[in-house]
Amino acid sequence: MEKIILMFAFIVSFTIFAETSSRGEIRLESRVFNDDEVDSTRDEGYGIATSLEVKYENQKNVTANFQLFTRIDNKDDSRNTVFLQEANVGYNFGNVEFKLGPQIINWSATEAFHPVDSVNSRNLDSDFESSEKIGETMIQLGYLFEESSLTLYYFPLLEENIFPANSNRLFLFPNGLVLGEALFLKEDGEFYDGNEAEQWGARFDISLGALDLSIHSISHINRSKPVLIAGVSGNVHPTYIPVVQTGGTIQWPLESWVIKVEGAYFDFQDKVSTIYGDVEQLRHGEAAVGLEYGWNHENGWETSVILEANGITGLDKPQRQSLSAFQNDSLLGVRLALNNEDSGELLFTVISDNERSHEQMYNFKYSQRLTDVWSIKMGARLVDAPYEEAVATGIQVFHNDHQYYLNISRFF
Amino acid sequence: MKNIIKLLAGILVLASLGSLNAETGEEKGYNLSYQSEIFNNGFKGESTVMEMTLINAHGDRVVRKMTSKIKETEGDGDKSITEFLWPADVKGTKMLTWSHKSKNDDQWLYLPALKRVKRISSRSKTGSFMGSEFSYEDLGSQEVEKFKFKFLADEKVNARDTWKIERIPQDKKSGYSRQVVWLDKEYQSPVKIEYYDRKSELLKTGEFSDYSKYGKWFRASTLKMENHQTKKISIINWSKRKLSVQFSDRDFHKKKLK
Repeated sequence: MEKIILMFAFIVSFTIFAETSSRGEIRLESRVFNDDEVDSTRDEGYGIATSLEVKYENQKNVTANFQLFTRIDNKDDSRNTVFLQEANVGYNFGNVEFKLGPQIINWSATEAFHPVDSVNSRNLDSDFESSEKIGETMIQLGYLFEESSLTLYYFPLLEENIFPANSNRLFLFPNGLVLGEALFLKEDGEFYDGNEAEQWGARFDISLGALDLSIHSISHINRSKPVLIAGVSGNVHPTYIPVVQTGGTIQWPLESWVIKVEGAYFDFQDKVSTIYGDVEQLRHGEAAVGLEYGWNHENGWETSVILEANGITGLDKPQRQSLSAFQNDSLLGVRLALNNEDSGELLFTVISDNERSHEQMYNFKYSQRLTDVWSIKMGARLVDAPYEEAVATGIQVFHNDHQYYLNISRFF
Repeated sequence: MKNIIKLLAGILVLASLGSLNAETGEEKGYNLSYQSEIFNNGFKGESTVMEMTLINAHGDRVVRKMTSKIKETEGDGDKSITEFLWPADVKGTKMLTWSHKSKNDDQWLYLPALKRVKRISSRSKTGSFMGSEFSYEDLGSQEVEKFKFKFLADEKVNARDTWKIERIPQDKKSGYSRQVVWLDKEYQSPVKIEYYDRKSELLKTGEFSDYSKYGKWFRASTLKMENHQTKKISIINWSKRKLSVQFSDRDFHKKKLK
């Protein structure tokens, strides 16, 4: 209750200033999965998701941002959630920028695979390609050069992912696993008691002619590649491991092409002994490469073709497959923008595993504006990834979890 | 007799000088356009609110709103930021452009829902801007280096004296084979432009009106673009325009998009 009052006070304090702007969305969501003939899972979901963002910027270079996300599902209580995405204040003096508070950072260069974009924890009960991010509390100090910038980060708090529950058809792990509480591992094999930790990062970003280049290094408790460890009560705990992640991104328009690259080396700490036994995440490199080509039709339509692939180095096949849903995959996408008054857009993508020939995920999506404030989005995601081993890995856990959805949004 | 010879010699000298000084149509078209560009330089920074009305062949209207900031850059194209305000689903989306005289523009798009700054290709010039009859090419910078010119005639448009100039885009990816510009002699800015498609057929006509004076510069408050092939019309109205605004380079830094 105190948190809600504080949030309300925060919003009210924003809106008394004239330099405030806001945007928001109320989304009526419906989704249906094909029947898996398991009584304990929810094959249907109907809910309301809201997002409210308020921004403040005055002439004296003071900024403030607030963004809150909520979802209520009337079929599956485990999907109900509320989390802060932004609640920060900032001050700009000359070329120096200072920001304090939770915010969302997006370091992605590619469209589907995002190996370097690991600052924020995520709500994993959302789009695979673009899951909802949870605000990461940070102190940010940046300096703007003419065509480059250097930003330093300090992350004092630990924020965990939101995992879909067992009843959710997007449950990320093989059936039968019961998730316990998340654990944050220390370098000495102990686990964090509270949510305070010392985590650091730095990023340098430069435009070299048409090429945008960034390099970064971040020393934090990684949330994108958790390890599952068995607890004493039979539960498994998603466990987050300290890592030094070093990498970079490239975005490079060349004529009608845009070349995109992102990659990082994940220098996880050595194996340590814990009360649950030895725990380690394997050191490895991960990269994604993308190409986007667009052209216009005489009738005003615009087509873009997207090709992307990702890969992991330093690990053998079973190790790679235990790491994440997408480890050695390629994506082919076609986007058709109708460029009309309603901004109609059709998107088709297929993600294929490069190592397992019979593992594909198909996505169809259509969106358009209904009026100036209402929009509709509908689509389907089909997963064809049968598994022969005893335990499903990668997107095999979603085999035949075909999903169909229709969302209607009211923007304000 | 000597006087006659002197007179003839004088006429010959004058005639040859005249022929030396005579501009070709191409030179005159370039010079007038260059003169217009020079006249319109020096405003430093400009901010406006834009309202764009889209009218389809049945007369139905929808409105788009955005703000625009432009900063002059010495020796190169301008830098600009357009922030979309309406319709509600694109509110907060921003487009940053660093235009260049002799190479492709640099463009970034900020997507507020993802907090993402995305580098985009500026080669898709022919695409529609927000579903309107304006293409990105129409609304981008129009430096003289991007065209070949030819002066056609002195003409009156709506009782105003203009130079009628043909200009041919140098960019092979342009959506147009040629444009015909009526450049107002006082405003040093176009009052009308005809756009011809790649098949050399008349595609669109843009009419600039309601000019106001800001310092020494003139700016149109209304631009009506009529597509003769689709019968659709788009109208941009500019308001709250300010010139000589002192923007800093960091206002047009991609880090400032968020």
